[in-house]
Amino acid sequence: MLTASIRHIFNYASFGSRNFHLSVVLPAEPLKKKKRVDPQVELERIRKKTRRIEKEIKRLEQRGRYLKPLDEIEGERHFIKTLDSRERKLPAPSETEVEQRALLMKEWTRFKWRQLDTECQLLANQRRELYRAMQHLRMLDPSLFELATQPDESLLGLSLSGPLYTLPQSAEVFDAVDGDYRDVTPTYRYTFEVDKKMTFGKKK
Amino acid sequence: ATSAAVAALWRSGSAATPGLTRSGRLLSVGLLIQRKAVLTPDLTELETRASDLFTRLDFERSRLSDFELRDRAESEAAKRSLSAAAEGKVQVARDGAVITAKDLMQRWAAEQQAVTLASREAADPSLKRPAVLLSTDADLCLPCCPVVDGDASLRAACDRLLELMGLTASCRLLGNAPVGLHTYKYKKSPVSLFLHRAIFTGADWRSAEASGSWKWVDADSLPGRVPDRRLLKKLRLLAAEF
Repeated sequence: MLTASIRHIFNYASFGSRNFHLSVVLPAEPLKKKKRVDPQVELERIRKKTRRIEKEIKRLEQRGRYLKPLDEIEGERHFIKTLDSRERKLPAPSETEVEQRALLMKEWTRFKWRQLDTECQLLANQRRELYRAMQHLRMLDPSLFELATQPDESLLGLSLSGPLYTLPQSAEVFDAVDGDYRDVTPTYRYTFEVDKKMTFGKKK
Repeated sequence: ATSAAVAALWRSGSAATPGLTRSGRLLSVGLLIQRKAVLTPDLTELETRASDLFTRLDFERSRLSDFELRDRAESEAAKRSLSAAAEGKVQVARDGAVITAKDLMQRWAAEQQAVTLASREAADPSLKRPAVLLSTDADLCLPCCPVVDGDASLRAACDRLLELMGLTASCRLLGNAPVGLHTYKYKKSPVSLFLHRAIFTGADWRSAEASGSWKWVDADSLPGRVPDRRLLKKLRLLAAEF
């Protein structure tokens, strides 16, 4: 019925003579009748929504942020777009250089294989020595053997550092400043704020 | 405690504190206290060449970083402005120039030159190899003591020995199980010596030698300090570094 009335206006009006024009109000539909809302019901609805959101926030904070799976990581778009312009234009190595590199790689591979073989043998010998010691202990005293097979809890907190490239400088060259360290590492803590509309509070 | 005290304990263990015997063998524990290398070892000629090659290959396969892109763009802009200035089109302003990437690189190079590392050549070469703590006493090689009735386990005997040596705070025993076995085939009282591995975790490795009773010995110097060939072979196997 509405479209019929619009068609009627277009057929019988001319824009020039009668200055008929379509404004934004004409095609709009009439406003809906305002429903009466019980304030208690409305408050209850808002409270439930707030509780649901706060529960979700607590659950997220407890579990922590999920990390994206590696397969889904696409990388930074800025780098992907500028990939072509970031190519290094270096001269290709000569034939002699390529041959020397290949020979060095062969030599290196042989060296690392020999090193691996030596280490595997060493490991096997050490394991055999440990097994022999434990067999001997079991033969001599089974109770001591049982205690020796228990796991060592104190190994969990073990941490070692080093080796260094050079020894630390003497105090004459570099005197380390005494005092407490103040850790100024920036940390970011995300806090989720619930919208004021969702909370029940005093209205101004 | 000095190594002499530990040696005395080792010798008279059966008299003063009766050691534990099983099947006619005296049980005892020995500690293989290891110190990791303090300084990184020197690279061999092959390792140096391979390291240089890998560094070169990494560089060739890499892409330009943001800084390098900036440097390239500034160099090209500078060339263009110079050529335009040569043709008389544009006047190049020398004063009040923006800090370019090249300026930053020069600044970093200057800062790097100001840093002086301690000399590696002046350091003791034995620091580049792992070492084992041995006794300076002629009668004792490794720190060891008999297991007595009061020891709940072999590990407890090792803890007692560490306490006797005064190294409880700076040494950590690795595991409850012995890593090796050495038997003394004495006719009257054969001894089974169970070797336990411990690692030196103290801040200053020189503190263990302060008493003069103990000394760090690397793998090359072991033959001169350990007369027993069987024990020497075992120590070389167990103290080998991967």
